[in-house]
Amino acid sequence: MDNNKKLFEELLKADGISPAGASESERIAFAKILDQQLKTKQSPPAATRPNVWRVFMKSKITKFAVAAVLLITTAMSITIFNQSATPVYALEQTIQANHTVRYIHVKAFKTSHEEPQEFWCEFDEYGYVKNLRAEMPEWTDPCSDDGTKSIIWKDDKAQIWLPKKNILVSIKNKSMATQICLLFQELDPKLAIERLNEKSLNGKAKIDISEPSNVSEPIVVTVTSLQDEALNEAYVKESAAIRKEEDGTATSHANSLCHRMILYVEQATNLVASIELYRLKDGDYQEIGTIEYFDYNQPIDAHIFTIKNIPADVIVIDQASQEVGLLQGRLSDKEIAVEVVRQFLEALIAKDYVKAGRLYSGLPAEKVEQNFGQVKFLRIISIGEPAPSALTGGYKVPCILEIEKDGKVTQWSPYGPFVRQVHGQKERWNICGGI
Amino acid sequence: MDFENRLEELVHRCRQGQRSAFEELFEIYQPRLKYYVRRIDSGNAGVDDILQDIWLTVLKEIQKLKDAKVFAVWLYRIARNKVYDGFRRKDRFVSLPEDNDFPVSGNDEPTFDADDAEKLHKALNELKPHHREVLTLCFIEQMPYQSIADVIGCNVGTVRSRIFYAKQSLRAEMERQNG
Repeated sequence: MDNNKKLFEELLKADGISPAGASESERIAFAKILDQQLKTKQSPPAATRPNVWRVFMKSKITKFAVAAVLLITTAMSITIFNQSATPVYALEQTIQANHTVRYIHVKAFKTSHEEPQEFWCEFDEYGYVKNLRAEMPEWTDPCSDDGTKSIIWKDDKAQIWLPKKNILVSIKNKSMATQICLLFQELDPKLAIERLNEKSLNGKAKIDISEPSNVSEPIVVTVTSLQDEALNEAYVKESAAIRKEEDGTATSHANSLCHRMILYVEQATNLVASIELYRLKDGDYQEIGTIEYFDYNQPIDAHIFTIKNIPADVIVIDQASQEVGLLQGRLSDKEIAVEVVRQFLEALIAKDYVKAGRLYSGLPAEKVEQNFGQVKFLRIISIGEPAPSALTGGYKVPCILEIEKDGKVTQWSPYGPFVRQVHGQKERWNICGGI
Repeated sequence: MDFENRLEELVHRCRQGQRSAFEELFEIYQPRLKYYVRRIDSGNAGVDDILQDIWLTVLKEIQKLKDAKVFAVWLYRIARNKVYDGFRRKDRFVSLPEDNDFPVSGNDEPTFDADDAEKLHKALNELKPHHREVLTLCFIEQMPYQSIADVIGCNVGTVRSRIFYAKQSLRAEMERQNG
């Protein structure tokens, strides 16, 4: 045995660790998380992924419609049933049916993750998003450390609640509305169906329809991409986000492309109950996710569009009623990033917490003092060259400060700070985290 | 099959979701990860929780690892981030290492023998954290300087000088402890 290997083994033994492998208790603990993880990767558990048809029938409007159709068809002769075996359904009928939808609740599952994205949406009379709530699990934004997010768009104002960071952000800006609507548009049944129909008409997708004679069963519409082109952009966007990760752990773009969608359409209403998404890999279609639609046209309780149970000590970042950050002016992106950090650090040295908060995403002065008032900032030792940060879409600006903490003078460097353009105030830049 | 090839094959099998590959990877890395986490987070009773958290991340994210050859660097970066996240939660103002590690040009780097392991282990615990960390990666993983730089997020010159001074401190500490 060479000296290096022997040294390594002896060091482990000196620390009471067996170099031969894990202990029995560690193996048991690992087996548990391995079981859980492998199970999650195979398919979302039944508890979080309700049976499509059961979900479908839960809707009051669906129940009434199905009952009405059953009543009519029962009164007709058996020959009608035989005739209905010939497909009469076309995607246009679902497009028409969607024009009547004012309220909808959507869950989007990805096979590799247990927790779904969830949306509640109220449309106005012209079909535009009026109020929206989005529950975004951690996996939807792998490039940030924000954790889960609740996003509400209401009265032209967005509120974003980040429980992991105990931060509530308010933003009032038209471009924010567009961004929030973009989150939903890939899942909006109306837009999704219109897009599929267009692809079919342009020869980019093939549509197969199976219309069962039993009206209580759904019509199954299989849409297959003919040109290796994604049918649904949501999964493409996610894989692109993953590719942006800084640490070289990017995934293959092709892993998330959706090449086939299977739609389950309610015969009574022509509305979509669910969509399964598949990718083509090694000649097989593998399921990558499911989108499920609930409660068509059932008015959504007002409390859904309100963020509740927010702790009293929440950090409120109000970008709706104040300008934050610094104006870029004629400075380059890197120059403004450095300038924001320099002014922020100088504000901390001067104990100007109002200014520091304005540069730090609009954080209230008392929160800045709470976070930074425990140490005395003495001087800036250095501010380094900004490096692009895929994590935030801005720059990381390394810096070193001299601080006095517990009576001792020492050097300190935050793991950021990260500086980027202010949401909806593109000419302004601010610190968005990393301190 | 040498270790690198075996590791590459294991990572490949893990990506395919093979349970036995994950178990094998765990057997190989759990002991050394535990040693590393204990060295950079000395005094923390929650090392087992951190280790579980590290493995959970590995299980979730291994699909995203582009190059199986860099598995060890990737794994130790995850481990380091988990430990440092814990530090930040406790105290955001953790002081920087008082680094007097100037560039080195000489060749008089101390060497250590497996027979010294117990003394070395005791002395290691008395070093500054940033010295302890680079030496642990050096001794346990025999990582090249570039890989250590990738794990701790600094340049290779810093790693070279840090290891040099860390080894000198280690030798001095061993002599102090053992007369």
